[in-house]
Amino acid sequence: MIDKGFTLDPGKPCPVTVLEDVKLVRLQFGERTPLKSLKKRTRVARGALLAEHSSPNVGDMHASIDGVITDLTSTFVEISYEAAPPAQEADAAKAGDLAQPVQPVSFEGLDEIELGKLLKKLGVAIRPFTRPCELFIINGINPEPGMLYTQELLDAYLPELEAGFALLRRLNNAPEYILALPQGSKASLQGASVRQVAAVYPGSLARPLIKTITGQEQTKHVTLVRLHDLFQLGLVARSGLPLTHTVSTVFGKNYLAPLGTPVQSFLDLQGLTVQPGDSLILGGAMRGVAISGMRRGLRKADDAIQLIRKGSRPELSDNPCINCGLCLYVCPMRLRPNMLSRYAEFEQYESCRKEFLGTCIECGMCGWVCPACRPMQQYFRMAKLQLGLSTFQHRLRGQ
Amino acid sequence: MTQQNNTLAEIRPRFVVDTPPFMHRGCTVGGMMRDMLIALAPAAAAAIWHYGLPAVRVMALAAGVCVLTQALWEKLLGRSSRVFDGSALVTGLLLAFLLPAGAPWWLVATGAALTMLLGRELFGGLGCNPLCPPLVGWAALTVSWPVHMDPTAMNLGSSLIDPLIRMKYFGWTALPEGSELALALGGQLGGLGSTQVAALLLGGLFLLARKVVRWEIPAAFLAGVLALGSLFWLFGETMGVNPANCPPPHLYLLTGSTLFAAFFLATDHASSPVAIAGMFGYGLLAGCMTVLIRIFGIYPDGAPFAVLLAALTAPLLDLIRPQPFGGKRSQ
Repeated sequence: MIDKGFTLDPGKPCPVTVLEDVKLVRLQFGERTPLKSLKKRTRVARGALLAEHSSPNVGDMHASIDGVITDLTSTFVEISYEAAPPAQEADAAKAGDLAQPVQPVSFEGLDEIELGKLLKKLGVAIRPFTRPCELFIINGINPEPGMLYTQELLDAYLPELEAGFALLRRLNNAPEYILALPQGSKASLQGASVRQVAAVYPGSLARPLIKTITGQEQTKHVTLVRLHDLFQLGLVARSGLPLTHTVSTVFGKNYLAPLGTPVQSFLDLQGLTVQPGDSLILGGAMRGVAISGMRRGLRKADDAIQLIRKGSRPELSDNPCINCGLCLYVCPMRLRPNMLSRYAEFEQYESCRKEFLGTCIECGMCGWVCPACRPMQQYFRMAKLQLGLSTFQHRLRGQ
Repeated sequence: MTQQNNTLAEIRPRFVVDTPPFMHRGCTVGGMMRDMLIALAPAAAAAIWHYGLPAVRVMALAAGVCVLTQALWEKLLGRSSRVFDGSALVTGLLLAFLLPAGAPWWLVATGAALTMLLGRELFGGLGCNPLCPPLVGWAALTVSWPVHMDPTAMNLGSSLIDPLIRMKYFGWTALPEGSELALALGGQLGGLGSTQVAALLLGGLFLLARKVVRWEIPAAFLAGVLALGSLFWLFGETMGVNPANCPPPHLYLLTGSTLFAAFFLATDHASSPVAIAGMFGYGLLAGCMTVLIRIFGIYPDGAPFAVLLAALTAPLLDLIRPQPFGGKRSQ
């Protein structure tokens, strides 16, 4: 029998290192609109609002360190650390609002709508938390290979998680909350019932995990968030300050780092050098995105950054399918990736839809097992884009 | 100037922007073919033990012509060559296993060229063939030159017997008493490698252990042979079949190329179904056809034709598929 997945081994304890002395951050605007007052050489304080998003579900963006804007384009802003000059009243007035230290806010006495609006302004993507549902699952399993943070967060950052959970329960009135944990874990979260499940990929992803817990394949009435998301909510909930930091497993070590910390800084920190032919991955090794430059900054959703050395896997290219059927066997969604990938390869996108392309969660198992080394996920992403399913895909990813 | 250099260093592609997954199980086509060669090795050794140098000659010629044919064909079409993945070598060996050790060189060369061209490359190469390529070559030779493909006629100097001919024309009781062990060790005339029963079983189990082929097809194939074989053995007479033509079921496995077909031919990736239900149906069909052809057909060894016939149903069997996760609503 071919294994239908592989165990996600947490390995040795991997304590979280807090990075405070980051000298330069590069923040991607994404689809957010930068503030008009943003200019080069402007001094900004940590937590100062830099860009807003029109959607109520997408968090705004804030400066993650104290410093001065040294570069500003339509896609990113670069902030370099610079010690604040001695405070003088005239200077402070000249420096403008962005340089004013940000004061914590209180969440007391707000209803769920006001709370959601406030959290959005503090940089939290609130959609998964506010989604109406009958069951709310917090995924306490490291979702993908290369992510090692869940046990460390549950051990060392329980107050943050509890604060986040308290806010979550005000945002969402789900009748039941479940914390999914790997077997043997002793962690718990007050108010949520614990369910221990085998830590196996792709069983750690949203829809397979929901099925393991509820026994049902209909997942509409269930919301699932990663522990990573709850932790970000918790950071804001505990401090009352905008979201400026995130936890991420970078090259096998856990960091609590300012958003926008360049990948190069992590490489320097661990003394790693990139050789020609290596790949740098934002996200997990099975679903992540390869980046093209080492100045790219850490984003809110990046729960891992990985360095894949040249030759650690066979090269993927447009080889013909040999019809061995291994992909059918490992697919957790019971699709026919062999047919799907061929339809996509030959641009028969309508046939892809008939083969239930929309059900694909892009777990990457088919590409992992493919002896012909075909770029399966690439085909599926291309076909989804062509079919306009990207919004659907986005929703699946967000779950 | 320094700044410019920095910018250039930033632009210069230093690492590969690639597509996920960034992990791989590690088994590639080349690795699969290496495992196939290892699995075929015991039977090849047994063939050399029984037939000596003529067996080496046929195997080398078939494999060589197959590799050469693929290389020339790809050159002719201006395609990038995939000849080094080893699949042509394996296909050639599989064909050689079906041929008699005394086959003339032109027969082997023609068969190998037909195997590659008619069996595989005309349809687009590895993975696109609708039928198992060595069987296409074998079938073409069998119907074109039946005498040269007859193992008894081609090995006149051998002291071995062809048990299939005996069973066909004299009844299964004509087999010498207690010949099972000799049959299992390859003491029978037939295809030079396809009758090395014990060695093939060893290789087949290795393939299953290495997960190169899936267990469903060989299991269903052998189950089909044993089930229908038992049925005829027990009730053949009441069904109006000559009981001399209905051997005990284990003799189906010990004679001819039944095991070879079950582990090495029916499991050909491209021409077999890929869904689990389909694989069981395909294996059962091939197994049952083997028994039917041996009892009622004019060809003494039914297994190769049974696999060819079953492969015709593979596209149909592949339509049997489970519902996708969460039902069909996502359509």
